[in-house]
Amino acid sequence: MIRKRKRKVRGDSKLHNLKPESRVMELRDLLLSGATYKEAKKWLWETCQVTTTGDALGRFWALECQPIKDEELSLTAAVAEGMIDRIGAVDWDAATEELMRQTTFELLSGQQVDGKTKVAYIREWNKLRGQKDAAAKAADLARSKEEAGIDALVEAAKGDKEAEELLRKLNERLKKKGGAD
Amino acid sequence: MNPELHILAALAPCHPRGLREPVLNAELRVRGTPMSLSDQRRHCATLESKGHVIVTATEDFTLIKITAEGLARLAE
Repeated sequence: MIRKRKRKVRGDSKLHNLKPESRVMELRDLLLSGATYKEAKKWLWETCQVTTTGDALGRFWALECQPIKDEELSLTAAVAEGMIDRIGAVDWDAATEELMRQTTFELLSGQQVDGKTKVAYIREWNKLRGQKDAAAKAADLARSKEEAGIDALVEAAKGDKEAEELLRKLNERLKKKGGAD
Repeated sequence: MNPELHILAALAPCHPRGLREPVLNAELRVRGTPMSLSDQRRHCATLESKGHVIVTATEDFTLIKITAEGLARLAE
């Protein structure tokens, strides 16, 4: 993250000298929430009886709001990368992986994503979910085959107390293993 | 700051992700450093020749990303 030296606030800046001081943060939050300069000027007049210009609001934005937006964007980029990294091994080619990373970032940061990209993005997620479901089903099947094998052994061991006890312990261990997976 | 540095400053927070052309253009406007799309393209082409950005053009959109060299240039 590039850290820039913060520009000095002009001593005669009306917007940085609003009273009470909390109004400065209110103005900052108003602009960050998406208010236009027209709406901000109206709010300033109604709440603080202060008039200002678009240029002054632009300077206020650059000093107070843009650094916050930049931090948010940096965090969003890091979160998007983390989300994709956490998926683990996937058989995406380089272009598909780039699409998934970039689109995740764009969606998280509230950018407009075109329809074609959205369709490709959802298709890849569904494919991935399908692969994970298939892997979970295969694990279940392997577990149920193990259990079927154990049932046959239990049947064969009936009457042999030692064998029954060993099989009971084995069954419990396998159940615990299935729960931990 | 010259226009090339404005573009790098707009792209830097997104690193390692990039911005699509119209999003970059809007970002430059919000930052008070507006430029026409054709000027933006021209400056991005220059930045790419210097290795400061990567421009990836598909049939649907053009994506611009800042490189490590671009971040270093901004930090100078």
